[in-house]
Amino acid sequence: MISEWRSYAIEDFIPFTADVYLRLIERVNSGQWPLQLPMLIVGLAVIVLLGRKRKLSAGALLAAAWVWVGTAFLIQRYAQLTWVADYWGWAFCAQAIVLCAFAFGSKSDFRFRKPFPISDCLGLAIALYGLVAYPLLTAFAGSGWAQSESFGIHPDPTAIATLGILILFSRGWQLWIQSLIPLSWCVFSALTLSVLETSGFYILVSGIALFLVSMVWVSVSPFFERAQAQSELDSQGL
Amino acid sequence: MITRRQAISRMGIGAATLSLAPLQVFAGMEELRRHPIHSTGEKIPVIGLGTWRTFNVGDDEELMLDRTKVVKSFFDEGGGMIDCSPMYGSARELMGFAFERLGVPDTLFSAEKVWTREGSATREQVRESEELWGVKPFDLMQIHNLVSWEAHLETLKEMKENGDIRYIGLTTSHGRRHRDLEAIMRRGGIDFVQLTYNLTHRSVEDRLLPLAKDEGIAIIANRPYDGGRLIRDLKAKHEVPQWASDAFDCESWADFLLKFITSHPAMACAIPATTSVSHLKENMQAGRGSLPDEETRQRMIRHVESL
Ligand SMILES: NC(=O)c1ccc[n+]([C@@H]2O[C@H](COP(=O)([O-])OP(=O)(O)OC[C@H]3O[C@@H](n4cnc5c(N)ncnc54)[C@H](OP(=O)(O)O)[C@@H]3O)[C@@H](O)[C@H]2O)c1
Repeated sequence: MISEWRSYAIEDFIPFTADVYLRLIERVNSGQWPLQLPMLIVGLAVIVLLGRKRKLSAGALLAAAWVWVGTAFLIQRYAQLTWVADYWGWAFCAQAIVLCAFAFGSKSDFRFRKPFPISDCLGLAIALYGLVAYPLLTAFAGSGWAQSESFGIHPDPTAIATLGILILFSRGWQLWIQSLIPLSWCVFSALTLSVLETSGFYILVSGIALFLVSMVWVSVSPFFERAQAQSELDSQGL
Repeated sequence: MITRRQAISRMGIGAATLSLAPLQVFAGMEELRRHPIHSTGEKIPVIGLGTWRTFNVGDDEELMLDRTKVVKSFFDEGGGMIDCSPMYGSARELMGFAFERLGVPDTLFSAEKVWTREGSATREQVRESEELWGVKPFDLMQIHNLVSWEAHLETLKEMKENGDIRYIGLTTSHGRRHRDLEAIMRRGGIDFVQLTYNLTHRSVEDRLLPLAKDEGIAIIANRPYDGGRLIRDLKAKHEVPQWASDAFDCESWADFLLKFITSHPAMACAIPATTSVSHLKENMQAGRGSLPDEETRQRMIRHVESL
């Protein structure tokens, strides 16, 4: 049985070719235009609202984007090509509930402050990567706007932007729980793109790498900060 | 990495308003070689057409028209077997779309599969596939990857007796479940077995292919290009060796790889899948002209292993 499983490769689970996937991106773009622009505003608004401690409205807006991508992209379109997309569609809806339930959880001291702590810089960078850079990079790499991927329309930038927002505004176990579905989606999608050999693979993997580095940083930095504070106290002889 | 421009040029989009003139086998074209189905003696062309991945295009009409061109070319070249499955996304819908535009060709040898764990759902799934293809009865109904095979086989035998299908088959791939397959083949009542056989995957040569010959079971070779990797690598890095062209009609890597398969005495046909009309034509060409003899076949194995 084990040897039978070893005979499977990732490509055995991807039942369509690259041209079909690229056309899917395109058709969703043309079908939903100009929704890309309001969705960009929604993404930016989530960050601003959270900065002003309006967690519930921010959570609701972000959750709405997840439900929309889950239903309009995954369940209605992508699921025609692969049945797994149906399950992912429901997972996206579940993520919307998770986001609303936690409304980003507690990082109670958050406010936009100068100088920006490194973790906030990382979170903001990932969020803007998903919201602003992603459509530009995918348009550039895929040679055209028709093929660009946007937050709230396509799942990859939606997941990446959300991971950035979570790094900005959530911590501890709540950060882990809220990241689970977006991160799992990103891994699944990266595997798919690697089989299809599309240039979007590198764009997505860069986002995932940035997030993982940030996760490590937000997990270890409190220890450094505590140790630094202690040594400052020690040096003051307190 | 594939960009949109490359993808579009591969698809031939722009010619989306293609005219699908009625099917025509081109006059003067050498006929495809045919091999027998041992259980009846009926002969089928040695090159068929697979549909995994390549024909799953959802409801994208532009791509459906594009793939219809591949189907049309297949029959223009004298093709017979098209192999599909409920597992292949929208491929069955695509067959229906193509036949609606092309008409159902007389030479079609329709090969579908039953792919459900529910042993009682055989008839229902066959009916669903008939509706989607617009074809009835199917020539060959196979049990996909031996899923719930006992129950499906029972029903398929009844269906064959009633004339609801013409032949029964079993499929596996990637060298999986060969022991089970062997045991089922020995029980009798099977017309076809589909398995993976290509120049780099030859484990079936030892037991299953000789057994198929003994039991009078026709073999369909799936993954003739190892999912595409094999021919893509060979084309990208190597020339077809001159000694092969001297030994038999071998102008391309498609000839080299497909003729290796179809020259095995147990083989009924190979079913390469493609999205491209030019690849299709290259593949069909491998169904014509002379085949390698046993000595040349051994040299072909050594050659590919040495690359
Ligand atoms: N368990 C089962 O029942 C089972 C399992 C596996 C396969 N199958 C059947 O067997 C069929 C064949 O297997 P497969 O599709 O996995 O793999 P395959 O036929 O070995 O390879 C298909 C790939 O080869 C490429 N190709 C085809 N002709 C070419 C040419 N002349 N030059 C360069 N590239 C070429 C195609 O790309 P382009 O589109 O670019 O031409 C496609 O990506 C399947 O489609 C399916 O019907 C059944």
